[in-house]
Amino acid sequence: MLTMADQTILVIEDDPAVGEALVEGIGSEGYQVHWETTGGGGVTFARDHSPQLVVLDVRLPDGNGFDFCRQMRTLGLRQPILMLTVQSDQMDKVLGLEMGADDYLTKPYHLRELIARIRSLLRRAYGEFASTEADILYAGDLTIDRTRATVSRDGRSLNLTPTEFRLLVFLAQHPGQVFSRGQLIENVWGSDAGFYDDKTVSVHVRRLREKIEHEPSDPTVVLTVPGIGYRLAT
Amino acid sequence: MRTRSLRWRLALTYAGMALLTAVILGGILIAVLANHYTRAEDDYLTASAQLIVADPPPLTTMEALTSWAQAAAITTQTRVQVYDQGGTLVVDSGSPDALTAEDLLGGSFGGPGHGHRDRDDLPDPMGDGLFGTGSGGTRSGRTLTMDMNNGAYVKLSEGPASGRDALMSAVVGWIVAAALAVGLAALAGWLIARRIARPVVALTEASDRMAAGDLGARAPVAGGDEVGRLGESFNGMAARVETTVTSLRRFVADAAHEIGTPLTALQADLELAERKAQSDDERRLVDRALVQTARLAGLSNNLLQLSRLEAGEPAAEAQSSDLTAVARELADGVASRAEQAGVELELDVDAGPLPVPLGQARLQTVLANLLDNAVKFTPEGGTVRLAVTREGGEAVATVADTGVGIPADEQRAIFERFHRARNVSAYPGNGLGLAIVKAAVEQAGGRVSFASSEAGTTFRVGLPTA
Repeated sequence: MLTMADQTILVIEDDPAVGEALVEGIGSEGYQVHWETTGGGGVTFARDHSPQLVVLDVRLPDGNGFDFCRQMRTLGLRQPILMLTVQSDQMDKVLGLEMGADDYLTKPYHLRELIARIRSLLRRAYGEFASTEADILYAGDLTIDRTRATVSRDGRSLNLTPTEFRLLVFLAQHPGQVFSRGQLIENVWGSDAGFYDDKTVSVHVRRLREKIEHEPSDPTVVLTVPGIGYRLAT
Repeated sequence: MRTRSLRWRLALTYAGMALLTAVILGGILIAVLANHYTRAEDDYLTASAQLIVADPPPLTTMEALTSWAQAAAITTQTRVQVYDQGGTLVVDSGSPDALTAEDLLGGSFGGPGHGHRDRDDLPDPMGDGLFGTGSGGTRSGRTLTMDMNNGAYVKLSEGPASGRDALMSAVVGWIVAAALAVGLAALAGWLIARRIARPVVALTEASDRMAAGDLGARAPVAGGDEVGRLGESFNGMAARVETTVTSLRRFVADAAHEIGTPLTALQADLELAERKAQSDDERRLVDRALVQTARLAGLSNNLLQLSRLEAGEPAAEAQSSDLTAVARELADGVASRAEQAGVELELDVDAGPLPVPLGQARLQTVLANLLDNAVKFTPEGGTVRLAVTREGGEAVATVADTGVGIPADEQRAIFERFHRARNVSAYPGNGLGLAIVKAAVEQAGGRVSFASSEAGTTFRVGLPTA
């Protein structure tokens, strides 16, 4: 099992400002980051060092990102590739996915979204990586420590009520799975379930979002599924 | 066909000109003819009178006088009246048509010289075929008086009419010819106008298409005449306009595209700064900068989308998607935001598959922009309703809200780029969302409409089913 510090992420990006920000941003999450400014250099590094994940810009000085993506796949590299595009049309997504990319992100993107995608791709490719503390859960860019009952982002802890904490933990234990409000009442409120109705859940979810979302008006961690209930974003 | 059209106006003008010409020519011809025949009649009367005067009446008895007058009337085929010096009518032969040889023979005819009075001395009324036949023929309206030496005078009238038949034939012929000329002129006018108008109509159509946004519209150019040259000139201008507009749009798209990279770096750095912020004050400032960066990013993204749509750039993806599926997917996306805003999201997206000729990404953009607006402009406690239905051959998506509504005087302008209604200036947005919606829907052959009041707004997107 790999630990976070063993995971090398290759960034292929020609723009110095973007590259520096990526190296610093991804590095601050605890990953090893290697930065290449050309597609050719990137492919060589990928072949020789087998990074765990590749972040690949579409526009590169020595060619097109799609082509380098295909080259890496032709070389037999199976690591997840996350492509960065500027185009807003899905044209690049379709093309990128056809060329063997696993995900794409359109510029300008949020660093935190990029990190969330990287985490999710790594999780999908290598399974939940070994954490020394078994009771650590992740939800988006949040870290949930069940033993200490804390939720933190970027090392700053967030102040949740016990119910909000239980709600978040329950959802984080089943990422992507949809739960009805009734199921949530049963599993989060437990013995007191009889006293609560669907409205209670909605109220708590809204308050939880106010605390954990970057942009509470546009939630990206705890999502509403119309007509059913809630799920945690994967 | 419009009566003010070139074809009708030219046809009428030509017909009018033909009619005018025919009237003038015919009038002159008939006047000349009539004058000619009147003179012929007068000449005939003069010759007749000279014959009569050369053979004075017997002044014996009244009967003899009458016989003489009747004989003279029959010979000359005129009505012969004799007046004395005082102007009193002495004898009247009566209409020559009423006289027969019996009158003459039955009467005490004793007029001297009647034997040698011969019609051969008269201008032959039949000779040129222009004079009416004797009895029953048309009579002239001309009269002539001539002195008979002794102060008495003879008055001739009702002589044989000259050329009436010819005149009538001439009039009839003239009318027929005039009618024919008018008809032919009208036809010629119409044909010429059509010849001129056809390329003009084609040019108008091309110009209309261009005005409607089809920059590739060109006029068909046929022939090197004035209209052909107008078409060439139009096409030259259209090509220039197209080049200018296309390069402007490409410029906007390129600019929006290029802004993306520095924005990404800026945003990433700001996010790093936010993490490392030492105080709440610092964090608040960085957050504020991040909000503006996101705003700039949204603007550049929308500009890119709009300039691509307006450039008619086809999406590389498939040009068809399922409205119902896309609506469901978007409902999932907007549900969290609606709930967080305290807005109830009602969904009616159970219609079967509704394939529409619009790529998935663009259809998502259309519905997302409408739903974003609906949620954004609806106060807490309100409702946003998304429905997808099939109406005849049309796939229809409606987004209805109980929001702030669009002021009546601004409803015409809401699809314009960067237009934002005055009652939403406090909400975030860049005024490009609806312009993108309209451009995307119309490019797929659909239509966007809306109804709005203070109780809310309903947008309707109608798309042909693919």
